[in-house]
Amino acid sequence: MLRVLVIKDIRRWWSDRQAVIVTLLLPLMLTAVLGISFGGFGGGAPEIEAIPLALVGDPPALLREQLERALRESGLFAPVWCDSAEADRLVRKGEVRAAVLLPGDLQQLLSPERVAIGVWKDPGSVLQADIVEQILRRGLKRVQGGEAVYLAAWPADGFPATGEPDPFGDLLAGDSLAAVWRRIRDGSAEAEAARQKFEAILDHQAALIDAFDPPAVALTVVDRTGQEAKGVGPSTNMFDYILPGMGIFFLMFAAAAAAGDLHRERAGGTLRRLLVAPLGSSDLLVGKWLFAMLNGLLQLVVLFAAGRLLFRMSLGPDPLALPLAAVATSAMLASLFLPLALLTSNEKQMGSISTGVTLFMAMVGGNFINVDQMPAVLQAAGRFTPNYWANRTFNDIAVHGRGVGDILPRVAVLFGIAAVMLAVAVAIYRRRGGKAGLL
Amino acid sequence: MIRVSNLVKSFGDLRAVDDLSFAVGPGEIFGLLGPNGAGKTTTISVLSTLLPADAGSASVCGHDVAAEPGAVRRRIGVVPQELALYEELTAEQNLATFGQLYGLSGPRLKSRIGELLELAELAEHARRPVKGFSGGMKRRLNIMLGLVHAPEILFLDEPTVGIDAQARSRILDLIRSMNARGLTVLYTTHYLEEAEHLCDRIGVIDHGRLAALGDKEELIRQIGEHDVVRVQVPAAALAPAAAAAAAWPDVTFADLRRGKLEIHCRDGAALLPRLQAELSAGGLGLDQLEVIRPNLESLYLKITGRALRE
Ligand SMILES: Nc1ncnc2c1ncn2[C@@H]1O[C@H](COP(=O)(O)OP(=O)(O)O)[C@@H](O)[C@H]1O
Ligand SMILES: [Mg+2]
Repeated sequence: MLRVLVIKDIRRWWSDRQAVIVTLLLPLMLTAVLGISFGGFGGGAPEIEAIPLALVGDPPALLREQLERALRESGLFAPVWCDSAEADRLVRKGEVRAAVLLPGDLQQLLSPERVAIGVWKDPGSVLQADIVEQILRRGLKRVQGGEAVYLAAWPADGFPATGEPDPFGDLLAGDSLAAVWRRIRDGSAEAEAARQKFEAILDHQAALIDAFDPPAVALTVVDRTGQEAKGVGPSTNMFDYILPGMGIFFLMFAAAAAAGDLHRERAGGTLRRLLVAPLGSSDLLVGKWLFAMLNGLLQLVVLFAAGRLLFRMSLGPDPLALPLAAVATSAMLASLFLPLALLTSNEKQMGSISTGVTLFMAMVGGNFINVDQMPAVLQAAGRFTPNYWANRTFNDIAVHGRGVGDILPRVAVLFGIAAVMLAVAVAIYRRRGGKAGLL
Repeated sequence: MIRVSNLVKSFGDLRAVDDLSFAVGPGEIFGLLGPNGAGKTTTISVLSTLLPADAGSASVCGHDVAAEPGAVRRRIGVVPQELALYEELTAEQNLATFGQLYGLSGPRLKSRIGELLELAELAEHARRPVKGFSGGMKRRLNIMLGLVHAPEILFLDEPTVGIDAQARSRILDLIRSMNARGLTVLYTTHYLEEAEHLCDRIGVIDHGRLAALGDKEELIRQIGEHDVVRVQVPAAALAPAAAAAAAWPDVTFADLRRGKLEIHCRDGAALLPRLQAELSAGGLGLDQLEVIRPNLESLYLKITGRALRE
């Protein structure tokens, strides 16, 4: 019986060109619009506000002040100075995106010996932590470049003092390079001195090349989170962060429309026919739920396929994780609006209520901001919205590369919500006198 | 096949069905005739297990509608008043969907669908989406959807509303031919002529109450309506003629109306020889005589106090 009901709804959907377009094209358009608004295909960096950054080390006061001012004035960073224990705490709690551990003596940066700068990154906000790392790398290259230029321009043993004979002047006085070489080869006190000078210059040239590669200042980068068990690091593709949330947002509208089909069947008279057919008491509701679920699943498939092909979105390392999350999410969303459909008297009324509910839940549950980056208040309130759990699950997969084992608790929550909402719908249906209540 | 006794169904203060009783025998076409809001659809809803009754009882094919709704549902076909079709689906898909919901499948379903489409003269439109159908085609398919599982009884709720005369007569023919194959039909309408021409027996319903019940002749007799003989008599002779006629046997009363003598009697035709004899005895001719027989229209007017709206 359920099969017949669902096949009927699929056929109706398929022959309704508008419905097909909405189901298949909307997710595609959504990805395209997101792609265009966030720096084009292939992904670019989004606008970012000042990144909270912890600085660890004890440089001289003047240097400390200059460094901090430079970081602030760049507009990119909001630095705080602290010791390494505090920095560790801040990174783990996500209060700073990264901590930079400076060497004990900053002057070392200017010496050719190797020194180490440490960076601790918050893997929860990998984009911003990456920016810290990249800027630091670039800054170090610049410091090292400056050092190389300095070394080349001011050779270690300095220029001859005024009044001393200039071995170069004599040596290079000639008309051809061959003559110069001959003079050096033939030897003389001046030639010997000049040769040593040449060697020194060549040594500095070599040091200059060395200064760039390998770097004299090494950067050690560490992700700072206890939970980070798997080897796969957080994603650096922005679409992994925003696409699932947006997709689920649109899916909520689709789910409301699918549940509203009860109103359409009532207005079209076919509900009356279904009600006199020998169906089980909840078949009608379960049938609508199954269809809405398939419809949602199809939209998610299109969404992820488009995200993958156009923006190289991550589908996670575990081939089973994403399908499982998609099924759980569709099941949850398909049930979400069934009670509302039973409690409202027509499609219009249901439409306005479900739109309000959807917008509110999307704001609180993390569909517009990535769940990792939601303010703490929303993190707490979000738990009470069903879409939050879907957002978290997809974030776990696409951003953090988690597998089936890791997402299982959240998937269970999603299926739990689906079961509860379906049971609520059936209860409302029975309480309102079953068939009589629907007419 | 259908037994309704003292059925009551209220919506709030409104008694939509009020102490209704009637019975329909096998193979009968029973008409429930009444104006809009009389309670016809409500009655069908109770009989088809959609609405619970407040009082009284109803059974279909020997099964109580409240106690055994499942058994009732399998034996009845319902054709709702409003078109109830999936407009996006083809005629064939509509029939297949409902056939499958009643457990039909495979070649049996296929041949049943073919048969019904043939009957409804929709065979060549089988694979077209219903939304392109004309009003009459939709109405015919709407009826077939109630028949797909070969029910014993068909409830037809005003199946000809809003279509032209030709399409209507096609539908009435269709119902007659289904009935000829043994289908029992409960047919509601507010069209008097339909009930008169299609139905074996008619229940006239108004304000949820049964006002009259029987075949056409019985209904007329129940009302006690009489023939009226209307005759033109010279003005001077009117009053004495009326007085004389009132004394005749079989005459209920005689009256003057618009310059004519009106004699109400049980059998107008039987009265004519006497009338002629009396008139010529008084030296009067028989001018402009008419005999008016009562019809359902006047009966209906008398019962419901209002004319039927088309
Ligand atoms: N669901 C309902 N709620 C309230 N009143 C109703 C409902 N259904 C019908 N009625 C009222 O009951 C009366 C009978 O309606 P109905 O059975 O549809 O009449 P008919 O089919 O003869 O036109 C009408 O006055 C109608 O307004
Ligand atoms: Mg009606």
